[in-house]
Amino acid sequence: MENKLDYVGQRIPRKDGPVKVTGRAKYTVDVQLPGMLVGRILRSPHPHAKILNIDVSRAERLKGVKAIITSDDTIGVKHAFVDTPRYPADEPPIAKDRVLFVGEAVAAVAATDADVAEEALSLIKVDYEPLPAVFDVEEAMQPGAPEVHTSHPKVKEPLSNIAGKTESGWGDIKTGFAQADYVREDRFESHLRTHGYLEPQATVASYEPGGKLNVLTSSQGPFFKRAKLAQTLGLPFSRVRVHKAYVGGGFGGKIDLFYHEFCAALLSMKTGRPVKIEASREEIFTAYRHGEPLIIEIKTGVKNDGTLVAQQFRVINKSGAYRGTGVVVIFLAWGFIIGAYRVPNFKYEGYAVYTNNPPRTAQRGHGCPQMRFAVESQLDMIAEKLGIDPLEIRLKNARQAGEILPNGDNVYNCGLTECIEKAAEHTEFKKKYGQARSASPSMGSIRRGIGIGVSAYITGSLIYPNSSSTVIKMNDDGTVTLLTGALDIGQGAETILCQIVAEELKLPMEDIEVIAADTETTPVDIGSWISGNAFVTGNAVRVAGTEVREKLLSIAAEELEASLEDLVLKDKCVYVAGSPSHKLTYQQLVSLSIQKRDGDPIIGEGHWRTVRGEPYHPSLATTKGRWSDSYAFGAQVAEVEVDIETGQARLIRAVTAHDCGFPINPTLVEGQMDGQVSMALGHAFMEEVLMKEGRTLNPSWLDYRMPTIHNTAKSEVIDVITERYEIGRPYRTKEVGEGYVSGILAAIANAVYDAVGVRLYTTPFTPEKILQGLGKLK
Amino acid sequence: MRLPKFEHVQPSSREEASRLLQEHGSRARLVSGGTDLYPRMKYGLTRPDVLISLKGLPATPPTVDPNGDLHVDALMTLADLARSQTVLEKTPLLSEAALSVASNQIRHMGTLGGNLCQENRCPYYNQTHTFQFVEPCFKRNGDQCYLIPKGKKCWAVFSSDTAPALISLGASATILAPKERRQLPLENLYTGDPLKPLTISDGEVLTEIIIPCPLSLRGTAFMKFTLRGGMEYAALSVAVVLDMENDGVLCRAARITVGSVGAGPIRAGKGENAMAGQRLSKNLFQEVAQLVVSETHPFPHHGYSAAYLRACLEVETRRAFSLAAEQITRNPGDPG
Repeated sequence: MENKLDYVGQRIPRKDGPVKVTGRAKYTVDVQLPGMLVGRILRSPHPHAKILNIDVSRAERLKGVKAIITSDDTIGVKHAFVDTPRYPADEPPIAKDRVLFVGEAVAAVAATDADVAEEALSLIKVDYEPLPAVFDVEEAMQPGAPEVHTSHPKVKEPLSNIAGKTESGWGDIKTGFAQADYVREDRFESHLRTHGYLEPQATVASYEPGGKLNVLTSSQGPFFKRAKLAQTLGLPFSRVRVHKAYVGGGFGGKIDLFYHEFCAALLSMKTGRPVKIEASREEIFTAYRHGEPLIIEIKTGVKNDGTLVAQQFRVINKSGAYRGTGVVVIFLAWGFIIGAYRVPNFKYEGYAVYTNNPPRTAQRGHGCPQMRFAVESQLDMIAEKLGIDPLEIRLKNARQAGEILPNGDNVYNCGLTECIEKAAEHTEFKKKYGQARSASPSMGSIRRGIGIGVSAYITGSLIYPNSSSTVIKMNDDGTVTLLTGALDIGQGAETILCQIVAEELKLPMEDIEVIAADTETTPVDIGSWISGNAFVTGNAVRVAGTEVREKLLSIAAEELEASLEDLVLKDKCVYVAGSPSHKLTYQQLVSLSIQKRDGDPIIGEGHWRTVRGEPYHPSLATTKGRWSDSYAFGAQVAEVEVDIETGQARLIRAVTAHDCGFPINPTLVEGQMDGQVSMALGHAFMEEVLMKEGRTLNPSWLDYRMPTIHNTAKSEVIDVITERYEIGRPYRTKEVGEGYVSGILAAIANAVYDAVGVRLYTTPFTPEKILQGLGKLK
Repeated sequence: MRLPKFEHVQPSSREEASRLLQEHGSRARLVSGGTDLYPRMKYGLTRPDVLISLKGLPATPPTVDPNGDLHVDALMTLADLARSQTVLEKTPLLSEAALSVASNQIRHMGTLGGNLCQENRCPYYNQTHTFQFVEPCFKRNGDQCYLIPKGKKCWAVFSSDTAPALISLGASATILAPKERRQLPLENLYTGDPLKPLTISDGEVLTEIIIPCPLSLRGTAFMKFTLRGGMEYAALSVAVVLDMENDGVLCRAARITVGSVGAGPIRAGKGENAMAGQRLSKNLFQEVAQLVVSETHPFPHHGYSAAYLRACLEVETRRAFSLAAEQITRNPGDPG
């Protein structure tokens, strides 16, 4: 079949662009329902306390208060992001008996307006008995530390507050280090950042008299929310319908079940009226979930020529008061080491440790930026010690096409070497590297530096149910409707899925209607997280598209009395090649299909999942089992300027050479790159949630400094295309939305070192740390 | 994060505003752009029953009187101030300081008077206190400071950008009270007490700023250090005015004011004295910058340590001197 691509690979404008830029897209907060109540949440002022009594009587008497809920109103079922026999759910949907962090929900109110709801909160009297609390993760691990939760029974070390542990390894670590010519040990630490989604979290829940709960919520996927709501409310899945809502960003921060979602639903069930709960930005900063800071200890052994022979890791996740994704990130942290370089002898231990801080969650890259920052920084230190340049040491150890990873995954057409070479060539890395350190003082106070970082990132992973199922149905007029559970959270999911439909059916984008992300009307999809949308949902759509195309062709072949190979799809018609007048329109074909195929109006179905053929997801405890179908690779170069007098550094240029398989939409791929570069520079230089004893000091956009347009750096993208799209065949495109926030962070750290000779072991790279490193702080 | 209920009164003149202010006493607050007041009201940090709004009153454009002194209406928005040609010609320092405030949108709402009369800030204080930092700190009429454990005083900083610039320019403020109108040097507007940063009392309205005409050749510079370069209060700011002898070489008098690192703007008197009568040089700038740091004692605030602020202040002050000196060299005949 001809494989001329008209839609896939094209710079097609976003499907949801017009409705968003004209303000017609309805976000959850925009929704107004008749009789709707406003909900508010009463939160714990203590990082750790016993709840002795909750007296809601005064609040109940306040005019306009329609319902108040506490844990007594729940069915007592706990939930969690991870809920397995090893890691059973540990979070009550509303605190019962004990609060474990400042901001934990203790009660919720539904009232006729927000003022009444807020006043009601102030009338609820909770008696607490404060308990000792612990905030520093290494203190929390010490035997005898205040106990947030009992340490995990399977972790036999004498440590407190262990939420979970991941162990992995291969080869023989002792022999490996014995073979090394040079061994070094370093410790890196990352800091707390928030996601910075601009749309605050919000939910509208409406419980219908017939016993159906309708929910609109700002999320990263409706199916996960449905599962958690059904579980905690004691409703069958089929009684909970989560509808599609437009989403103003998620970045990992809107996956879990949140208090406002549970409380809105339960308040609606109690009152029989719709309930809306919106989180204020301040609540999001103080009581919601930010990313996961890690402590990373690395011991690495190399030969004199830079060949890695052994690497040992000890990673500690600074979890909050509940497990959250803490036991996922210590698994992923391992995974984000193994993809980029060959390490023959390897040992890994990762701990998730409870503290009385608010729980944490996934954040774009989910451990990868932290890990790459550590690994790539240390690699530069090793290279310098050995007198090798940063490119050479990376090229020497970089994975090559066809390599099998220790977990059995295949890197297939890995383009890492080409990425490194192209990024270096494009930036004249060799010429520039090391120049600043020999600069003369007459240059003024600005030093320029260049650095490189590398990453490898999974393309979706086998976490149940990382699958997607789609339906494409032809309409009477020859247009199509795509039903997908995937949720477009701004990354362009609907656009690329339509491009695939358009390509398979040679149909203009505007003739494709999308019905998406509705648990009732669309088939299941994991949602927009774990970096699998373009690959998993995309392939499911492609399969459905193929089925529709084959049905169209089969009827056309019969009617036109032509063989299948001679038929061509174009302009919503099927032609006989070389005879353009010999054709049937899609409209005619739909009608013929109904007539001659027992009423089939031409419907295609497609299913896909990650790591097909593997029954189970990999073990979070041991890392055993296949993890992902393919890996995206990238090399990123940063150029920075550092003021050696104030210590202030800025990113002036970012170059990303990426092997993302192939771009389904190059504009969207570049958008992802630019977004990741600006996120990484915020990570590197500006953003930090400042906390003291579990309380947030800068809960606003003013004092939490996200970069503005003035801070963004020039971002250049180099494609290293390793895969292709063929009509009607499975494809292996790779992830593009998370990995590239990682290499660039490492590159920035290495560039700062190149500029001023200051090695930074902790993020963010503040002026203060740089000045300290320069010995200029008294 | 909702604005509490209040009565909104719109006087037809400043005089009426002053009368109303006195009448309502501590129940009332004056508001113009609201960029400082409204967020504080949303946080529940202040709960006025009555807001007396100056918003509807027209701002008089900047004028130069026969003495050459510049008069600026306190009701001017920061945006208008920053783009006023008269201000730019007479006192580019003020234009620069006004332009450095927050963001374009906020400068279009916020006024000069509001910027000068803003409240002190601290990360523990500037938020709601429903479940975080519930126990009151000094600034919320309590008896503790969260920032400095066992601290005996409040450490909230005063972050106006225009105040250091105007104080270095020797500006005076016109204060309208119900029965009188008085002038005071702008620096006397500030108490240095973070709990009550302003010296004006109920019923008084800041109406005008007067910037005296320079008597000789002058160089000025304003430095504001931030992490992201916009939409941000200063980590520190420093405004420098160097008045030169006619030879353009000897410094006749210097005025140096440091912002955002203390309870109010800080005049660096020792630094000023050390500069006066001296020949401008890199060494002098370095020495005086060190002196400025030694007499300023920056407060740690908003994640910046005192040690870092000292180091940074020294650099920024030295740079301000160099920029002011460059201005003098560039415009030797222009006493602006």
